[in-house]
Amino acid sequence: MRCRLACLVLWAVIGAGCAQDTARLAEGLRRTDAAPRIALMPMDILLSRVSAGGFSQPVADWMASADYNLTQALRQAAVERGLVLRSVDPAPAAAPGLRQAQLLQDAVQDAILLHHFGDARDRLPSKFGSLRWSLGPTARQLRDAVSADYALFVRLRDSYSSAGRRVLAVVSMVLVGMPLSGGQQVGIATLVDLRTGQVVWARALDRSTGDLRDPGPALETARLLLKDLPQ
Amino acid sequence: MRWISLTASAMTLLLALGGCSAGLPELVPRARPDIRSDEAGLWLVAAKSEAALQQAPTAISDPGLNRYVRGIACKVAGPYCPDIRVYLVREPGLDARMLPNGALQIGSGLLLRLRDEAQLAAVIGHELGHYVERHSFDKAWRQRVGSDIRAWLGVLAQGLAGGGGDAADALMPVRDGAFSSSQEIAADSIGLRQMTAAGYAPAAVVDFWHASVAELGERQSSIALRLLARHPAPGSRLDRLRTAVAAVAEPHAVRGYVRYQAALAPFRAAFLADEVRLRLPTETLRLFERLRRQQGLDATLAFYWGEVYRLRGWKDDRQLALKFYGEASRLPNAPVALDRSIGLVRRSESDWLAARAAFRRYLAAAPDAADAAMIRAYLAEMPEA
Ligand SMILES: [Zn+2]
Repeated sequence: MRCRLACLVLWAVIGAGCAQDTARLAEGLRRTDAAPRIALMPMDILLSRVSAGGFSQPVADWMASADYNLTQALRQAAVERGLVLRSVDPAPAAAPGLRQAQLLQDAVQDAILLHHFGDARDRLPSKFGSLRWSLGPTARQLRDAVSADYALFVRLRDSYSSAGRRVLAVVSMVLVGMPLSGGQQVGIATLVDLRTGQVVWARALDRSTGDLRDPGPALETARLLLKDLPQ
Repeated sequence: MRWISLTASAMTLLLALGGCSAGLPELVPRARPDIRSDEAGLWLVAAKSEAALQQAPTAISDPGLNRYVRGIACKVAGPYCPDIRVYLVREPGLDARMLPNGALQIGSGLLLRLRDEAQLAAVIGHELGHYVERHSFDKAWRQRVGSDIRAWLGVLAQGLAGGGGDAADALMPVRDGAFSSSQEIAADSIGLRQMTAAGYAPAAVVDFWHASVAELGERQSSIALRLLARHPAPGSRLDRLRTAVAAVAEPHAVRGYVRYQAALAPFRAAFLADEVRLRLPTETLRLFERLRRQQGLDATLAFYWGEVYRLRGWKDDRQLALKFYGEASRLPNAPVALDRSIGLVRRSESDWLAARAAFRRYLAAAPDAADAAMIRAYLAEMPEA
């Protein structure tokens, strides 16, 4: 239930017309470490097929390949920026408290989407422009569990029109003059400094292109996601 | 072009009523959907929910209670035992939910409402029925086809009629809702078969649904009874159940009342407190009537009954609260917090003598209680009698 709500917020907020400023930096973020240890947290990726009537059906084999493709792509995109990403074992035993950290980060990401990338009316005056969101003490716990200084959280929703929806879109355009929305790629990536718990960087994605099912386009998405990460 | 939207409504209704379905065969034990199938997508999303359940802050981790409920689930599931994973969640209200992948979430509010092991077996059997018959997938399939038809007819209606239709409306996907009545009937029959095979008294099925519907009363729905929203139980379904149960009646089958109540006993007060904390006094009073009918009134139930009235605070509620507190104090094993609550009600009535006596009894019994300092402060600021 909670997840569905989060997705709704995600869509409602980004879908409402995201501004062009898609990356946000905390004040004074600098690359101070020569080789910061960054943990790529287990990603929350959902790929679905949109039926003619707009019903989203999750597709398992797409998700399996997307998870692999994007992990590889993010690693490569990170290397291109002189960074090394390490994956984290999603098994509960491997990193206790990981789930709590992810739940917290989900909430923080929702808040960031709403207050930094969303409608101007929803922007918090005190937080405008700069990121001041924190994971709190969970971060330190996570730092020990994953032995890294930063954690990269990625949440992506990628949808594709079914054949039926593509046909209906044409018919709708011809008969009614009403366009139908096709597939979309929306999501957010956040970087958390595990020493302080601060979210130091965030980037939102909202577009009707992109394809995580193939390694090539997945790399393009990864590069776009990490574009403004401090080098 | 009203006929087109009428046709659309009619067809959607037809689908919704289960006149049409994906026509799925039952799942065999240890079945896994093919990775390329639509069903696999549903399972993958369910697996994510299950991962969240595993580490939910509300998870009940007590090994004894988990082992006990799992044991019953396994007995009822029979060959499907390895496919069903039980998760106990601390959550007031009546709810249990089988995810499409076999993860069975059972809320503490359900455990509180059950009379005996046979009723638990009945609920697990019914949920297992939805799993075996792949009803979540079937429901999703019907929703998708329904929304597709509505979308097509909506666009065509508007295109051909030149306005006045509701194409945009038709393009909105349908939200997920209750299982259909034919799905409920199928789940009931599998549930009955499995619980009977496990040696439980089938009459418990009728008791459980009847008591749940009685708790709902004349209302359409209640946020405290989510199970009924997902599994509608109209009179026709109860009648059908009664007939089916009469046909398999076994005089020696197990109810497991004593065993069940003993397993629940260590948690009962906490679960009752959770219900009171919902702050839905009308609903909670109905629940307490149900529990009294099933198990009689014990000190713990009487105490929380008083709490509902004390916290509601309507005109006669203080007197009603004191009446139930009085009952609780006359019954064995009254909770320590009873004197605290009596003191609070007496204090709000400015009955300083009685309030003082009750608070002193409370502090004597629980000198290290978290609120002891507050109660001492109340005592200090009370005028001399
Ligand atoms: Zn049902």
